[in-house]
Amino acid sequence: MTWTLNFIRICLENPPPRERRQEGRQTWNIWSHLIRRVLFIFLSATLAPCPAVLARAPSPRSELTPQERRGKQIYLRGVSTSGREILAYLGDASLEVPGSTMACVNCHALDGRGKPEGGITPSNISWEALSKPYGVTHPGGRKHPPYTERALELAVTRGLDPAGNKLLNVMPRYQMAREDMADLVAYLKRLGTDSDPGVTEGRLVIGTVVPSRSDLAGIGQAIKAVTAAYFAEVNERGGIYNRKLELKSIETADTARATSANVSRFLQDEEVFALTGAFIAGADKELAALMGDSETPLVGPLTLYPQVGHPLNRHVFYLLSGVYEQTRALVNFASEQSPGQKTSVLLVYPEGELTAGVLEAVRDQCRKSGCDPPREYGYQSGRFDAVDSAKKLSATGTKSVVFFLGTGEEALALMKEADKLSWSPQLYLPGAAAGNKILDAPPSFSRKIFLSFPTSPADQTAEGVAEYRALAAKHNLPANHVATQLSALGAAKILVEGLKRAGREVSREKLIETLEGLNGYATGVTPPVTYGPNRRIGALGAYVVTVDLEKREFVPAGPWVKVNF
Amino acid sequence: MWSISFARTIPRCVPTATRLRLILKPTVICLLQLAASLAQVHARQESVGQPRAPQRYTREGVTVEFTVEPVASGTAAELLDGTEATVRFKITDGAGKALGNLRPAAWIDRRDKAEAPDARECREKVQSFLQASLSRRPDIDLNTYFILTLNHEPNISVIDPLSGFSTTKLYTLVALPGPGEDWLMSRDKKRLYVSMPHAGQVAVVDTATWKVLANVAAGAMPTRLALQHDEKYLWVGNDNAEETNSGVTVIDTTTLKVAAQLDTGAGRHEIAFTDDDRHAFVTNRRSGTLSVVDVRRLATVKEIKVGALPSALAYSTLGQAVYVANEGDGTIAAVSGSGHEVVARMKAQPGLYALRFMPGGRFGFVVNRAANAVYIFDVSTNRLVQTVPVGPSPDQITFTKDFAYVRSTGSEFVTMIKIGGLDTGGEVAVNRFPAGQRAPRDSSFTSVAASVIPAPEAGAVLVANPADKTIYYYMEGMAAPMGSFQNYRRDPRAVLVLDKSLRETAPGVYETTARLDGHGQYDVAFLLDAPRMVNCFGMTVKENPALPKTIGIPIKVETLAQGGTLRVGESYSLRFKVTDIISNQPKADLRDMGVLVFLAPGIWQRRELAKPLGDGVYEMSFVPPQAGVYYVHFQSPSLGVKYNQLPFFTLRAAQDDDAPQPKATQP
Repeated sequence: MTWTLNFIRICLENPPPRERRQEGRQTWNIWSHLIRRVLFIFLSATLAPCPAVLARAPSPRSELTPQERRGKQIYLRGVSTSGREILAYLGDASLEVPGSTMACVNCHALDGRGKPEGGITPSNISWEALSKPYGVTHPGGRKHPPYTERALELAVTRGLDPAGNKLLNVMPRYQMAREDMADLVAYLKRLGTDSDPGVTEGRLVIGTVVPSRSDLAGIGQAIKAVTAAYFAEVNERGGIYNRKLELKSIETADTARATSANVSRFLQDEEVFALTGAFIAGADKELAALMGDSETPLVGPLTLYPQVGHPLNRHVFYLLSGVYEQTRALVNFASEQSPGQKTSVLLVYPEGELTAGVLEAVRDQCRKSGCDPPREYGYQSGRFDAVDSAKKLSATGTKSVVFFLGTGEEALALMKEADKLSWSPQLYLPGAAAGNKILDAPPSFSRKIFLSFPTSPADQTAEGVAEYRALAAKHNLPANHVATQLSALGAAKILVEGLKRAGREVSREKLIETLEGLNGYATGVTPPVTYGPNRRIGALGAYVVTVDLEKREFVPAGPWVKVNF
Repeated sequence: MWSISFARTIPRCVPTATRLRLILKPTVICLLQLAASLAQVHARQESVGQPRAPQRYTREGVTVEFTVEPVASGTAAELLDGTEATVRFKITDGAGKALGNLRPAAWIDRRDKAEAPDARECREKVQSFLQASLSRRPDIDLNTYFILTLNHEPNISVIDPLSGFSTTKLYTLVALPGPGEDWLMSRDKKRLYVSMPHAGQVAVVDTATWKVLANVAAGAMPTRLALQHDEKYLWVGNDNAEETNSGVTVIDTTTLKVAAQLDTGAGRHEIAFTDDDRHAFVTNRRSGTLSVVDVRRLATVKEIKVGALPSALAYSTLGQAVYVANEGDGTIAAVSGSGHEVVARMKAQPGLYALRFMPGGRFGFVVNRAANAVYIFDVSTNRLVQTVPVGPSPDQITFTKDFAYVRSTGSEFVTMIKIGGLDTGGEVAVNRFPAGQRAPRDSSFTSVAASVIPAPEAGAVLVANPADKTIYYYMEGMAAPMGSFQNYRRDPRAVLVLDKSLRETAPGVYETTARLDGHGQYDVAFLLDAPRMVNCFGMTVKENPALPKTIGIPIKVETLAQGGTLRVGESYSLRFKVTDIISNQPKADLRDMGVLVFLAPGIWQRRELAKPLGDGVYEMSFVPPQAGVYYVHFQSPSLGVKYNQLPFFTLRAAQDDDAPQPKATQP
């Protein structure tokens, strides 16, 4: 812990350069700064490694009545909050299926206007469209007078329109309790007019999460300041669809569980529509789960451990690859180094929960990249025996490469011992773990150490940097934690772009859909981001950087390495 | 390898053929691909016995069911010569599940033998149709479209762009009570609405029969037309100069009766609707106001001062607001769709004339006809983001997926603005191409309806140039139009496309309508690229007792070689001999032996009656206005022979003294 705090002090004492330096020796500064930044988040992440019980978030508040809210549940999920059964009967053969498999929203969409699919355009079932005084004439020629509540029930239960015409048989008939039907009808009359929390006529509430610990206060300040400054700029230009963005923030707590409870309360009390640039390191799992449960989108959280396993958490959009994804990129890179022959991987790691995921990532990516299953050497965390390890590992031969998941100091110790044995294998480690001390490695390891980074200074475009500088000057942003500020700014820009594309009738679901449509969106301060229905890491992959020990500088080892899952 | 590339190319294959035919060049690529695809077709075909019963063809579990029935009467009636028929293919898989999102192609061709073609002959037939040669055209191409032009005369030209030069491209001419000013096609493409300010009416045209169903009296100076999204009401702007009788006429499209007439204010009117058709917005140019009309009650509920001379408006789905461009003060006002308040105002230069949203709706484009510029604004922020210089006096803007096209009345050049990079904040690139030789305003017949429209093939547009009396076909990426269609000496004020290709009307059901010309046995050739299917179905068309009897073409025409050269600017006498085909005797003294001469590709033409010289010999003279290839067609209405029924001849005229001898060639 002392080490962590010392490191943070170094960060604070050496604010990263405001000006982007040119080529040459300055590369060192930029990369080493990056190492500091990533390392910082990595360490923060380890502060609260204990798993916590998921805090269940209460359902979001909205303007709907309790009955309408129950109806909405049926519309969205095809299940009754009361637990009563809802069944759907499909096609001419009346195949019986649970209502949950045929929820209304699947075809009719959130706003009731319908998603055309497979040559079928579902009818617009917003009350405005159904209740037109002159009735409805469908493209196929079917005509009927306006719907009444009773007619709506008949359409849902018997598949008949108000004129008695049969609806297309792709529309199932539903069987549900009378109370549930009343709830559903009540909601159908509100369909498309209800709005998510935090959305009002003139404003949109966006939240962020900042660390509470006093030693991390600067980070929190930086996140809040840059996000507020950016929102102020957006608001000054008229806001988004005539709504002003309003930033609210909440602090983390001592444990992940308490943090989750804090944030949950915050979402409810402040009616937050979405979160941006939140500091979730240390409570990665808990907060991601909370976002899913409360259906709150979170864009660009600061973390090294994106939660992107199955089932996919649709609500969290990460900016950069975490340690798992970076390690996969390192494996891809390593196997490309020796094309045609199988790479023999030695995997050295401290035993513990955090590294378990990394181990799994290395094993899996090794299978995909065609290297041999890695030989694993676990050690007890904090008790690395460099002498013994060097001896054991060097016995495996000259062609193997080492993946080291311990700390930078441990890696340094290993290299020194290996050097004594005249053994200098390629050494791969996540950039987050390396420190500037890696430059003290024995010269025999020159250009044999490979570090992964989720972003590079080159990702920042001239416009992006200029925009940040203008923002910094105008809003007097803190001079330190520039990298954190750029991440938070990138997250806010992605969120704003999503809101702009979603339109004035924005909902959390619509925001998620539009974010999933971002393809190569350039924030100017991060790598371009791409999301998709099954992709939640904007810049999926890593840069690999090697270390020239003679010149004592970090050198890019190749282009961006993509990761395929 | 082949199967992959084939699957990708065939859907484009037919339109490619279409495009290439426009410039009269055969394509071999499609043919090669087709040959590869046809190499191994083993299929089972069911009997083609009953002409009107559904015919089925199954291959590898996929079934195509073909039906054809008359448009006019019920299914019991026969298919008759000269009537419209609905051609329908239903495609299902082995389990009977409808197969949607396919791109089938089909052709109708007269059967030249007694029996139905076998699989090989059918493949050859399809192959020849895809080849786009002039020699082998199907009688009816079901993969085509019509180009409609709104003319300065009281009529609409319906042009079939695929017909070769051997026949006229003018499919039909729809006569109207007055010249049309604006027009709209219903979503199902079955109806065309045309406003006729001077007739005070709106014409409703049936696009299957090209008959005018009704001329609805629509108040004073009916000009702009707008259809609600649900198409319940057709809204007509009454551009009366007076305060009274200036507003909108609302026509119920089911009854074709006027549902309401509202005086909203003076001046020209433009009309827009909210997405749910709850409200209509009407600009009143001289009054400087925007009227909000409750569609349920058909009553004005609010009048909003929006600025000086509001001249254009458009509703933004993303912004849930209606944007009004004011020509007088150069402002763009955003009025919220629900609260009906001005929520934002953007300042540009006076002269704003047209406003449209690009595909996706994020950015609005406003044309300034005084400043010769287009302003682009972002609906999410209500700010102008870019100003693009365009050609002189721009007045219209149209979008394809990648470009905005701006028509300038003061120049033959159309400006193209690349819209791709807009949402990433990039500067737009600007280009232009010449759509003809003369500026549109050289004709006094421009209209408010669109003169640039997207062609059915992606990445292409059609441009009506009234001054040139021509429609130009332009493909993105080219320096100039690829082809043109003449409009038979009429000024095309606006252009529309009616896609006649097979459309999916219900899951797995692909249909279109076609006019059957000539009785007899036909083959309906069907092609599907993936899964690969080629089949010829049968179809019988009965003689129509209501039509005048048509007999075979009773005459043949031969040109007589004569001395002298065909020189530009000098009169040329064309002599030809007409022979009765049955008796083989000269056919003398025909008083209506017409000759049509036109210069390819239809830039100039002359129609004249030939002078009988006796003994079946006739003569007509014309002066070739410029060097080029001239096509000569013949007709004799008294014998029932039309221009497109007899073989044509070609003549070449040259400018120089060393002009070639006139050469009459039989095709």
